[in-house]
Amino acid sequence: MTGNAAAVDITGLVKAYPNGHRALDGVDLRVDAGETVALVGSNGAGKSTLLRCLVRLHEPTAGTIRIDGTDVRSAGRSELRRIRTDVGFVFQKYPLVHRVSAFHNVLHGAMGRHGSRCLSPLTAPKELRREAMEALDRVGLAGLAAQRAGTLSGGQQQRVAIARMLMQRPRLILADEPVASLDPIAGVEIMELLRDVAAERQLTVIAALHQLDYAIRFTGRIVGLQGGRLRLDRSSEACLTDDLVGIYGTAAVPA
Amino acid sequence: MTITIEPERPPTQEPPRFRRPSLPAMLLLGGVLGLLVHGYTRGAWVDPTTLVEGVGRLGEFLSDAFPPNTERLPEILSSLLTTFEMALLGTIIGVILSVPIAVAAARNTTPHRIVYILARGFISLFRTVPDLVWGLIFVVAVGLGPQAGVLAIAVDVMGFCGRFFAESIEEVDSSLTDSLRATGASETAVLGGAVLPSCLPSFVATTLFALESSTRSSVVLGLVGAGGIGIELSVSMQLLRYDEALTIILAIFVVVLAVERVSSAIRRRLI
Repeated sequence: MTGNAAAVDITGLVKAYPNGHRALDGVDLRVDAGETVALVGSNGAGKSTLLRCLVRLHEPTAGTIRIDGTDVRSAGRSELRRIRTDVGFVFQKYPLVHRVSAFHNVLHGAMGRHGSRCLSPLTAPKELRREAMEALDRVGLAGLAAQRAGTLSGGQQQRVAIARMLMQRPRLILADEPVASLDPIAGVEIMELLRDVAAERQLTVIAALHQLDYAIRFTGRIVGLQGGRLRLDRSSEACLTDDLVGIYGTAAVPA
Repeated sequence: MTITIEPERPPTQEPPRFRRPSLPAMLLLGGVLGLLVHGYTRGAWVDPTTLVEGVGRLGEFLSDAFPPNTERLPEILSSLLTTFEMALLGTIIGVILSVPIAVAAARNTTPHRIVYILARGFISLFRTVPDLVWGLIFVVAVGLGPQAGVLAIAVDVMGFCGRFFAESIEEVDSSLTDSLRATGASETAVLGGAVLPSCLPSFVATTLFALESSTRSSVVLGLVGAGGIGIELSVSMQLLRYDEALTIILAIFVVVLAVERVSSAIRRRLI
């Protein structure tokens, strides 16, 4: 798209529920291409809602969203699918089809680009099968390609989910608490993998994180949400304990 | 206006032993009693003296029936086979048609609210009309014979599988479907990639239950002329050939039991 457009440009984003609760209440945020941003904030602050609104997994109520210069909110069905193809989404609970192999799950990542041919390894073209193996190899699981996804450990399943996301060839990664369900060792491994993959492919990353130390260690910029509003926007190095106290209250913040 | 919140006081009295039932409960109880009394005046009750006499006549039936007459065993087995084949084909047709209906009748996959309501309506219709009535209807439509039975079973299976398939589709984790939608996949691809593979074990288990129940109902369907062993049984009973009837009953018992055993063995391996 346009050369100097921001990777993500959000203005006045509101998500209101029928009961009147505003999960997002006028959020403005601009993320440049290649940035890695951590979204922090307590439960219910609006982090997940923000990420989901970006690709309209939740339908925003008001405001504008541009991804690579394309208006997401006015996009029709097929345009929205094209936008989504460029955005890799990593979920907290690594949702995979448990009954099929890791390889099969990774193939699903190409469905946006290649349609129903990637529904099964049986029908997938040769070059996609090779690409899926490369993606699995990149996340270190080439040896477990044939294993059923449901039999893998949590960390391995999240790796498969990341490999599936790589199959999309995304330009932007949205990660919704990608390590919240993992033990600390697997968590660090996944964060390192996400960081390295993003650096290799010059991807933009926005990750909702509960672990403030990860936010400081793995991202360049920290954005804090509180009650659906943006309360903090600072580079990770400059982020002070006081800033985070404002977002969470004292008890949660490490000294 | 000021709002005062009363502090919660500790209970000073233990709760009563008996609480008066609510008005709807009393009305319901009254209704049930009324129906039972009305039924009694119409003969819908169990008379102990008839029961005792009945047991005696059952003894007569059994003494007539023993030993089972195996003279017509080849014919009996052949129509029993037809009965099972009816059940099998009806179940297969019913299951295949149930999948699209269930997709339309599951809140998370239905293309439109109106389609959802229609699909649910059809499933309710298929379920609430008993299989025997479907049998009668199809006998009128396509004539006497196994074809009517196959159709009746297919419709009955659609009522059963349509509902349980839809419930199993609704149980698919929404984050799984969202994760594929987020890749830019079409709704059809989400269905084929995530929903149906996740539901497959439960679909198979439901299908096996449907086959068990179809095998049983295919026996009864013969009684209304929809083909199979039912008509043989009915004729033997009417001609008072109890020894032949017993052979048929035992043969049915063996087949139904075998289907149940095999299907539960498969289900156990699935889960």
